[in-house]
Amino acid sequence: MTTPRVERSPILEQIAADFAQRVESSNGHANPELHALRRQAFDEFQRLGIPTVRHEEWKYTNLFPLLAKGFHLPPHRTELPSLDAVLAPLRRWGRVVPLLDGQLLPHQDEPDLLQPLSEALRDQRWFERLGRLAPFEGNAIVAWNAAFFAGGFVLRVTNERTEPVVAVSVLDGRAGNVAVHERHLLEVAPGASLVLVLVQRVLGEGEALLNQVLEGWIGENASLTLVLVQDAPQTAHAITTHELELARSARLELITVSIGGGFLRNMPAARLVGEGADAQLYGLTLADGSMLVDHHTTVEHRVAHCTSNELYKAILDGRSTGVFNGKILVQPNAQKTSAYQANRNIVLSSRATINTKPQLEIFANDVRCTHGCTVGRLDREALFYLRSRGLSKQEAEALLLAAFAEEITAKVPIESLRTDLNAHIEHLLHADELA
Amino acid sequence: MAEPILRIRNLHARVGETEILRGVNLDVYPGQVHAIMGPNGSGKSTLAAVLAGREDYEVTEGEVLFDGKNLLEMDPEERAREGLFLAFQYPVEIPGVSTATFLKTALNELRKHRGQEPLDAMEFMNLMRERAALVKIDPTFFSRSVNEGFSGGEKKRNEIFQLAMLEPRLAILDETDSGLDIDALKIVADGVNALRSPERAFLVITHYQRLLNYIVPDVVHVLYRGRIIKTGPKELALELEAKGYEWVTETDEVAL
Repeated sequence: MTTPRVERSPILEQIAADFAQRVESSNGHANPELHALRRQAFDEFQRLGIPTVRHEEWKYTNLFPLLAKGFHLPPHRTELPSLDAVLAPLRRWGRVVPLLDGQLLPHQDEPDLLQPLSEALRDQRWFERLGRLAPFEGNAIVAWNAAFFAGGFVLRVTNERTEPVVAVSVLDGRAGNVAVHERHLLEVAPGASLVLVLVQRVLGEGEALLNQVLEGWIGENASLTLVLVQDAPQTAHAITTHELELARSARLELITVSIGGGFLRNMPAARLVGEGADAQLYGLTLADGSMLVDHHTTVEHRVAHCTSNELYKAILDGRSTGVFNGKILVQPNAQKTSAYQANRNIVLSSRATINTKPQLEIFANDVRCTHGCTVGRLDREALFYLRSRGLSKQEAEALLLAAFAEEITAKVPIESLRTDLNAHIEHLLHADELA
Repeated sequence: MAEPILRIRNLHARVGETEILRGVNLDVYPGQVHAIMGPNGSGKSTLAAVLAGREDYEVTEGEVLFDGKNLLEMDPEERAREGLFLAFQYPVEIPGVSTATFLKTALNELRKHRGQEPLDAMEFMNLMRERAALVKIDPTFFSRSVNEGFSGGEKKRNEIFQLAMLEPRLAILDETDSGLDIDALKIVADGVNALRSPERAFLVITHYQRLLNYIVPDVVHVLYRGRIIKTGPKELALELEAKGYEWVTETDEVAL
C-alpha cells in the first residue's frame, strides 16, 4: 500500500523538535542499540507522515483534528503526585500496576512479575523481541511509538495466575495536553494463564493521548484474557496497537469495552501460528457527544485447524462516530480454519455515524468463514411489550440497550469489573443524551 | 350496579386505509368475565391492540373510558399503570433481560404509580415464588431471559404469571388458548380462575369455545366485521360451537 506523502505540517514540525530535544539529546547516555533503533523509527515516521483520511486504513478516522489540539511530551518530573484516589477504585479488580506517563512505578509486592522495559531491554533476548510482532516499517503509529516510547513494562507469567493484573496508564495532564508513548512486552509461557486489564486515567484538566503498543506471545496451551477498559472522560484519547501471537493450542480472549473517552482507535491483531489455537475478540462501543471509536481488528490464520470468533457491538448516539473494520486473513496453509465475525450496531441519533467493513482475505480453500453485520434501531415489538407492562419509553429503551451491551461485558471474567462496567453503562444509558 | 371498568362507545379504528373496527360498543363491570368471539379477521386482536395502545392503529372515532378516564389519550405505559394488562397472543422474546429484572422494574413502576413503596429483594422473590406456583412456573424461569427459547405453552403461562404479579384491574387475554395443548390450557385457565375477583374484570378473546369450558364467562359477544353483532349468556358460546359462525353472520348480512 502506498502512503500519500504528507506535506510538512506544524504538527510534524513539533514532533521533530520534540525528537531532537528529547531523544537525540540522550545520545551517549542511552543504550546505543536502542538509540539507533529510535533514529531509524523516526526516519520511517517522517517518511510515512501522519496517516490522513486518504489512507485506506484511516478513511473514517481523521487524526488531524485530534493532533491539532497540540500534545507535548510529558515534562521532566521532580516529584510523584499521589495516585491513591485514582488507583483505589481499581484495586478490587486485581493487582494494580501503575504507570505514570509510561513509567512503571515501584510496586511493593511481586517484584518478579513485571520489569521496567528499559531494564529488560538490557537483556538481549528481550531486545530482540522488540518490534518483532509490531515492526515500525510501514506503520506510522508504531514508528512514532518506537521513536518516542518511554517506560513501559515487560510482563512474563509462567504459572496459572489467578489474580488479574490491572495495568493503569496514568497520564498527567495537569500542565497541559500530553502525549505518552507506552511500549509493553508480554509473554504467557506454555501452559500458563493470565488475565490482564489495561485501563487509562488522566490527571488534571489537560487532554491526554496514549499511543500504546503491546507485543504479546501466548505460548503452547497458554491462555491470555486481555480486557481493554476505555471508560475515561472525553479528555482521554488512545491509539492502541496490540499484536498477539498464539502458539499451538493457545487461547486468547480480547474484550474491549469503549464507553468513555474522546478519540479511540484500537488495532488489535491475533496471529494464530500454532495449530489448535483459538482467538475470541469482543468489543463494545457506547458513544455519545462527539466521541469517535474505531476498532480495526486483524485475525490472521497462518496454520491449519485454528478457530477464531469476533463479536463487536456498538450503540451510537449524539454526533458520535463508530468504525468497525474487521480483517480476517486466512493464509494458504491454514486449511480447516473456522473463523466467524459479527458486527451489530444500534444507531440512536440521526447525527451519529457507523462505518462497518468486513475485510476477508482467504487464500486457503477448505475453510469455514462467515461474517455478518447489522445496523438498526431498537426492536419496536420489544419496546411495546415492555411499555405495556408499565415501563416508560425511556426505561424500556435503557433496559433493551443494557441487555444489548451486557452480551459483551458478560465475557469479562472479573466479577467486580463486570459489575462496575454494567453500572457505568446503566448510568450512561439513563443519562439525558442517550435514549 | 357499579360504574363499568371499561366503557367502549362507537369505537372505529383503522390500520393504513383499512377500517377494522367499525363501531364497537361494550361495557365491562367489575367482577365480570366477558368473552369476545368471532371468526378470523373480525377485529378481535385489533380491539385488544387498540385498548393496549399499540401505535400501528389509528382510532378515527369513538371513545373508551377506563375507570372513567379517557384511555385513548394515554401512552401504553400509563394504561398499564392505571391497571390495564394485555396477555399477548405472541409474547415477545427479549434476549438479555431476565424475567426477574423485567418484572421487578414493571411492578415497582406500578407500585410507584399507586403510591406504594418498592418491594425489597426478599419481598419480591417471595411474591414471584407464590405467583409462579399459580401457573406452575419453575423458579429457574426467573433468571432466564424473558420468553427466550420458551415453548409456546411456556410463553402463555409466562403471560398469566405476569398478570398474577401485576394484579391489573382489567386483563385482556388475546387468544391465550392458541397453540396450547389441553394440559397447558387447564393450567392457564386455573391460573386465570384463581385471579378472578370482585374488583377485577377479564376480556377473553378467543376463536374457539374450548377455553370457555375452563374460564366460564358471564357474557359472550360475537365480533364480526368490526362490530359486536350478538351478545348473550355463556350458553351462546356453546351454540356458536354447535352451529358455526355462519349462524350469526348470515343474519347479520341481512341486517346490514
